[in-house]
Amino acid sequence: VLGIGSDDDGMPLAENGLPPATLGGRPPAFYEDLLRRARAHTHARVARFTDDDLAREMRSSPPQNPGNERVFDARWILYHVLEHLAGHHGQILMLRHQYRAAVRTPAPSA
Amino acid sequence: MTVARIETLLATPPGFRSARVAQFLWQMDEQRRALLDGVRDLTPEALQWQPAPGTNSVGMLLAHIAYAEAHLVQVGVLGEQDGHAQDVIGITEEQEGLPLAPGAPPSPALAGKDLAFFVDVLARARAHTRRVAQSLEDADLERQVHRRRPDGAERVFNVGWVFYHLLEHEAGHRGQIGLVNHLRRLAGGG
Repeated sequence: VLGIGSDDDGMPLAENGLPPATLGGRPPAFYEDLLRRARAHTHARVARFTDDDLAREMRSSPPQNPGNERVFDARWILYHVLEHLAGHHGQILMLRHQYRAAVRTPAPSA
Repeated sequence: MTVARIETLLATPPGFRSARVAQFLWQMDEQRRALLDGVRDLTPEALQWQPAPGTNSVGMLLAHIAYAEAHLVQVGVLGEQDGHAQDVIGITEEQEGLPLAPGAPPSPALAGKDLAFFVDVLARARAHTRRVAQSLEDADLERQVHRRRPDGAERVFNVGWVFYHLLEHEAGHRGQIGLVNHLRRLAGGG
C-alpha cells in the first residue's frame, strides 16, 4: 500500500536516536503521497461496510506477547485510526511551534 | 497455557435515546480514560512545567480540554448564543490560559493546582455533556447551527460535527500532553 516498511517510520525512536535515514531529505510531497495512499486504501476497504461488518469481532495475538489474545471490532479500529491521527496531529502542531520559536531565537553559543 | 483476553469493542452504552450519540460518548470516555492514564501521578510542579516560555503546560491543556467541551456543548449542541462554561467547570477561558502570549509563563490562575483539581474540572464538563447527550435523538445530529464570526463570516456546522470535534480536540491535546511529559523527562523533570 505505502511502499515503506514498519521500520521505516523510525518509531519508536531509541533514546538519543536520530530520525531514520530512509526519511532524510524527503519533501512534503513524499509524505502527502504516503498519507493519500493509506487513505485511499481505507476508503476502498470500508466503503461497502455494513453495520454488521463494523461489529464483527477480530482476534490477534501479538508476536511479542503470544499469551495475550487481543479482541477488537472494526468500529473500534476506525475510532482508533481517528484518535491516533488526531493525537499525532496535535504533536505535529506543537513541534512546528517549537521549530518556529527555535529558528526565531537561536540557542546561545557556548 | 492460559491465554489472557484483552477486549476492545466499541460499545453502545445504555441510557441514551440515540445509539449513534451513545457511541460518540463511548469514544469520548475511552479517550478520557487514556488521557487520565497518561497524567496520573503528575505533581503540581509537573502540571505547570513548560517546554519553553510561551508554550502550554499540561495543566493548561487539561483545563482547556474541559473549557472547550463545556463551551462547545453550550453553543454547539444546546444552541446558546454565548457560552458560560464557567458555570459548569468553575474556571474561565482567561484562567485556562490558551492561547498563551509569546514568552509568557503558564496561567497564574492554575499555579500550584494538583491533579485532583484538573480531574474534577474535566469530570464536570463530561457530566454536563452526558446529561445533554442522553436526551438527543439521531435527528439531532443533523441539526445545523449557524454562528457569526467576529469578521462577519457565517460559520455553519451540525451537532454531529460537534461530537466529532470534541473527540479529535481531546485526542490532539492528549498527544501534546504526551509530548510535553516526554520533554519534561528528557529535561530531568522526573
